[in-house]
Amino acid sequence: MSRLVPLLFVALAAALGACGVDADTRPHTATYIQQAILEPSCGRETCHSTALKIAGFAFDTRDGFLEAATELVYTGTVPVGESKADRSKLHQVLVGEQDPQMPPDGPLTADDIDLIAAWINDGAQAN
Amino acid sequence: MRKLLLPLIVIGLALATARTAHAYPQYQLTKGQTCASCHVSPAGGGLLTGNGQVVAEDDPTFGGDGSFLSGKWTPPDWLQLGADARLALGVTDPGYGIGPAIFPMQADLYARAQHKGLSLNLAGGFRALGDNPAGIFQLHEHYVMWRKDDDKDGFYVRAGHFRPIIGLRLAEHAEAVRQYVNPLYNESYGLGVGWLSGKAEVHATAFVHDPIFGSAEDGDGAAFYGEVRAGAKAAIGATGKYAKSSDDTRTLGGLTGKLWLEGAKLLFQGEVDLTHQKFDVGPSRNQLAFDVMTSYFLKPAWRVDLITGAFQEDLHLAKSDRESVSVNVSWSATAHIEVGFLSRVQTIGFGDGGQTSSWALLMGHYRM
Repeated sequence: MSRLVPLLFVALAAALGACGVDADTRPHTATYIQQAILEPSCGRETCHSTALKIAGFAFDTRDGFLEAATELVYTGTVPVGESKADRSKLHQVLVGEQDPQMPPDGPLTADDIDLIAAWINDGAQAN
Repeated sequence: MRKLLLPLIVIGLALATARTAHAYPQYQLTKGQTCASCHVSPAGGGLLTGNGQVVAEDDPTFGGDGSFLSGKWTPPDWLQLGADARLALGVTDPGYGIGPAIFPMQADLYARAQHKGLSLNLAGGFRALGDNPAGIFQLHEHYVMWRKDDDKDGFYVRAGHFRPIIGLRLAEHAEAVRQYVNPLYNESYGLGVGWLSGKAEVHATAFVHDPIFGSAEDGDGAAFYGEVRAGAKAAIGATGKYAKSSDDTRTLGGLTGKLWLEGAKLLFQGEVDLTHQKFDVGPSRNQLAFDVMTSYFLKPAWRVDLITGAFQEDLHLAKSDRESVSVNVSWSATAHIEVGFLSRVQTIGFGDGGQTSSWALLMGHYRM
């Protein structure tokens, strides 16, 4: 019976991996990114919440995220071959190009990081 | 060094804060108990009942008196006091390098004043605030409860600030069903009612989010958990939760199961939860979380837990799954001291080459 548990786990994990589609059709808007990605992953009560505001950032509200973005997102022009996300601290800490990588207990999924990068590269609008 | 130090500070700040202790449901079927026969809280965790103190004396290698301060001082009958302190040290790899880790996992104080069936229950600890790690002392649980008798079957009603009861309430708060479904800091203001017995338990809570200190639960709604024993060695349960916040609505349904194979000294516990989350803007999503815990009771005082779990952030996205395997060893040295080895590996996108994170920690736990 005990041998069945790891097998069951692998089967369920494989099934999870097989769930869904590859194309990410979610909107790369500030509101959606804050609600669906940043609030549950970064804006928890133990971290960048309005109550704690560790490092001065709060991601549990849209206003907090947009305020943080003024410091963490690069909105100037970039040369060909480079992106605004590449120059943005927000993206750099998510992909581990700047210390400390965030979230500290494990990274976001690649899809989530790509969605945030798309928002930055689109001008980091308050949409 | 800076590369290692900064994450440690962040993790330390995140973890060295007040939290609610949780029960060890591993002892429910194996010792013929319920959460509420050992703990004064119907959710389990925190202060022990008189029966819970006796149960705590059962296994430890060096025995001991399970009562407050090992019986060196006894509070008056109307007052109950207690504390839990946990310290961890070891190594972590958040996915980009191994570094040392040492941090307090828990520092909670408990008090309960009671008159007949009515009690005032308090649980608090230090909580970091802003960039001040010393923080403030927060009463993360404060509620009034009526329960006729701690050790007997019956109803309870409570009102105040507490964690709505859903699912298994594992002590291992990093596992999927705790981290993503029933996380730390989700105490709310609420009214809870329930019925507890050796054969079944039912809990229902109506809650509103905490507007003062904030909460992991930012919505208002209701929660439910029901569990029925199938004989003495198995149990099945169902849970549900509905919460509506200013920007989303979440509807959760889940199932739990427990099976104790006494001859093999193996206990299986599992929970699977499906959450439908509807945003005010953007597409809705479905999330899946599950954990299967296998506990092997090596010999008295020694327990090994193998926990396998997974969480998929969005069932529509193929690579949004996270899987984890934890191996924990627990040794009850005395009725008040526990030593544990905690290890865990987590990956994103099983089989797709996603980033992996892990830790291995030694934990010391003192229960006053």
